[in-house]
Amino acid sequence: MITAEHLSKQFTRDIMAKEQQSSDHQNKQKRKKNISKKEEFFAVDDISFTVEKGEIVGILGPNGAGKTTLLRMLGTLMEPTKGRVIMTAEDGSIMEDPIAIKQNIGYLSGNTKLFRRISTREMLQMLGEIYGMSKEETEERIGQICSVLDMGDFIDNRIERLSTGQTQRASIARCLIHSPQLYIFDEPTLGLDIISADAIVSFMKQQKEEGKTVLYSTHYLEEAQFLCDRILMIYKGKIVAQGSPAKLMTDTGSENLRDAFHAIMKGVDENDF
Amino acid sequence: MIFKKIGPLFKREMTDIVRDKKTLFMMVVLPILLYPLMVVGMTFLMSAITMNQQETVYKVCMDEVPVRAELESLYEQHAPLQETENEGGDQTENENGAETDNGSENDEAEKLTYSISFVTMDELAGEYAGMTQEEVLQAKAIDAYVTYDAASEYPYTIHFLGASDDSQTAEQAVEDLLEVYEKKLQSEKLAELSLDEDEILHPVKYQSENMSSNEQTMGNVLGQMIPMLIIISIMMGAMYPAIDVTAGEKERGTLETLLTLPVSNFELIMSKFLAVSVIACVSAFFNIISMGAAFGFMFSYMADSIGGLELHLSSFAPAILFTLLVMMFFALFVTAVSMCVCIFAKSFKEANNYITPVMLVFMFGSLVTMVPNVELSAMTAAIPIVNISLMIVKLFTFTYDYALFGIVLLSNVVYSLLAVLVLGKIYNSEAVLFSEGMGSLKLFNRRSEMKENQIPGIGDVILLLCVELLLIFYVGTGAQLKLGFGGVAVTQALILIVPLVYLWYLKGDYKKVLSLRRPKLLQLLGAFVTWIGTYSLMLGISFMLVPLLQESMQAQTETWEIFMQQPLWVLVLVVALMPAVGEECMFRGFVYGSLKDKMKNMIAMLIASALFGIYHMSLIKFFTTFILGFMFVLVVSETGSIFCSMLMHFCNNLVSVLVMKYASKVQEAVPILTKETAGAGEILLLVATGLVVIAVGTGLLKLSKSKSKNSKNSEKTA
Repeated sequence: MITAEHLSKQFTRDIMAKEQQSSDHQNKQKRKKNISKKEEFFAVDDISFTVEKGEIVGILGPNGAGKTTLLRMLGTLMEPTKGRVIMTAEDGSIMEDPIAIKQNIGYLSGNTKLFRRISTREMLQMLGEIYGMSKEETEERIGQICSVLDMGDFIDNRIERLSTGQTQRASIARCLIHSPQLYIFDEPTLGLDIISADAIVSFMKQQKEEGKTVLYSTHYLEEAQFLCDRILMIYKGKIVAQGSPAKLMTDTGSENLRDAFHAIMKGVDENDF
Repeated sequence: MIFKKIGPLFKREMTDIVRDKKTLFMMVVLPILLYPLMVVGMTFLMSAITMNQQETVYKVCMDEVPVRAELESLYEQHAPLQETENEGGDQTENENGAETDNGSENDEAEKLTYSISFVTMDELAGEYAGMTQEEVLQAKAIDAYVTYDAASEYPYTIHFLGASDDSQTAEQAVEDLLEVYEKKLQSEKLAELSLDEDEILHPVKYQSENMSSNEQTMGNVLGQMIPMLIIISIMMGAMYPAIDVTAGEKERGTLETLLTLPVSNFELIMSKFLAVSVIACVSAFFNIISMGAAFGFMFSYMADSIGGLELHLSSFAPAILFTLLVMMFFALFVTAVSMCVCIFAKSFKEANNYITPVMLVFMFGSLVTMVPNVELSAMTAAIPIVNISLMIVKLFTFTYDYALFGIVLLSNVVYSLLAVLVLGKIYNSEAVLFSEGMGSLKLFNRRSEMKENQIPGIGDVILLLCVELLLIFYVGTGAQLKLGFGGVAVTQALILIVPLVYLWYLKGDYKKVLSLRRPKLLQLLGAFVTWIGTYSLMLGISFMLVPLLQESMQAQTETWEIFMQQPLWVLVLVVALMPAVGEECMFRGFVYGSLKDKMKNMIAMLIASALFGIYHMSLIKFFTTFILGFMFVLVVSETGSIFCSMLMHFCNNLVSVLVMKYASKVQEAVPILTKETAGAGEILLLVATGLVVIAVGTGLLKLSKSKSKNSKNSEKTA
């Protein structure tokens, strides 16, 4: 179980782009206002929620909504500006130390590429050592993963020589090696072919059946509708709607999650201005 | 506990680096091949040049020389030996014979070094008909020609082309021949007078003996070359893996993977640092061993062939061992510094851009061994790079000063630790780990990719200042030497043009960076009043400083005297108007305009004023120009218009010009302006008046500011 308490992340961004936009409008008054060069803004703005054991929670939102930043903070890759992340272990003990939390998380995103010049087996052995597993334990686990993910053919090849699908399986193996309680996946199916994407979807389902928790972000609404127990929709760093896919659809009177998404985003935009 | 996790991470980094063939090549293969090839190549090249010189027959025309036939027959007697069994030995004997002048006994054996063929113009007539000797020489049909003018103090003139190697050697060949001829005449004359030749020509006989051991002499030569070679090789060894584990990691997208692991950033960076250090050390090791072996081989070969030059290579062993030890720590330092720089880059290419200047600095540091009279001392032993270079010279000349070596070793340990600490600090920053690179030096981007209306970064300011400094130093000083007063104008023009060109290249926001805004009348008035106050304040302060810095004051007046010969309008233009525009654009424009974007306004103002002070390159001027610069920048900050500070600057320099030009008149009217010293009371009065007037001036500026605010507000409400 993982809990986000008032998570916020502040970044500084150049607002040069904004200045240009307004100069396009030839609106001198507005341009003068925008002349201050740096702007601080919240990529994630006071978000709180809890993900229960055995749940699959999907995070939806347009680009720049703050999904990646939120997941990075939950994975303790990034430190929150405000708020905290708390993880509750199976035995009920509470963890707040980033390193302890990382020990129990399998984190996968488009940015977590694999080391190219070592083989999958070497990588898994190194990870086993870092996660504090014994040699025998690691070897046993590698054997299991290898058969589950069908990696026997290429486990000893250097990763740079693997095909995209094989690399994806090696990436999943990376998250599995230490049998974490929670998986955090940031757009795991982005850019994959149908077979690889389906493999990941079925993997997530299977992990749920084993009582593991999955938190993931995606742009594929059909996939989310069919997979998730609960959806968090975020926009401009805030949660704008949450609930089961069915609840979101009935609330907005939509037939599917895609329409519900549009309806919610439209509503937010109208309130905004 | 820490090492439990660093261990596997380190292993991963090492495997990653070692499996990269490029690194392996740089680390092991290159050093092993480089030095033997260098030595062999150098030896080959040298002997090829000598061989070539000995084999070439230089064509010399002596048509106008009356004793041509005699010279020719003399040459026949002394013609160089061709294809002898021991050419090298022969050559040295010849040279020695000529230099020590003790070869009279074996006159017969004395041979010339170079072959000459005596060409006549008639022989050349076919192709070069109607040409003068000089034209034939220019056409390179002959290598030199000799003319004779009995009336001249030096009847023989050897004409040659300094730009041609062959012609230069031909000149030498003729000179050698004339020397032989001269000797022959001398002997004949002396024999006629029945005098002892040896007694007359060599009344003082002496020899020099080099008391340094052969090893020391050799060591001195080696010690000058080796530091740069070693430092470059370590840089090469460390640079590539340093980029690979930092920027390369970001580029390949594996950095975030590492961040998902249950390890601290410190453990991560330490594992990387250790891996690169090991590579750098191994690379240094291979370099030093290979270099030692190659040079050792070369010298023992030379010693064999020359004979009599005995070298004990084993005596270099302690030097090599100690060099190895210090080099290990230096490698740590280089590694940490390279990683600190590369960590900001997001790609290999960018990292290369960042590290090249660092490498240049390291190389220049190692060149210190070529500078005469710079020796290892308590001070130089603490300067990184320089200390290692100088220590190697000491080591190789067998002057062991263990106290200084201790400082070198210790300072390298300290510097490497500091660099590692900085590295750890930088690596802990999310801005660095997740950012899109440093971007403080915008010049590295192509102009077509530049964003419109940029504000230059801090790196740009530093670069611009360096460029300006170099230009003023070389171009400005050069122009002043050549053009005299006109050179001052050139310098001032440079100060204006360089920042403008730089801004143009960056597609910078001129208006914003240079604060180009039309000032209001009230603002100009405020600026003017502020300047009057500042002038009074500065006058007071310089009176305070005069007793402290008398000398530089005197030098100042001397330069002014040259200026004063110019007509007034020229002085006003070059000394008052041009700096008012140029220096304002540079310091209150580019420097301040860029800095205030990146830091707090007050800090930007202080830095810009300090730079303005330093720029005047004189201690006495520093304090006053610092204050002056600060008041200028304050006015720019208050009014947002550079024209206000230009007015102040113009007034300021104008007064200086007038005071100097009309010194006597000013002395009568306002004596305080030309005084050398002032009493405490006067100083106090000047400072107090200055401060009060400044307060009034800035008050006026504030007034105009609030006025314009009010009018804006009223506009809005309207």
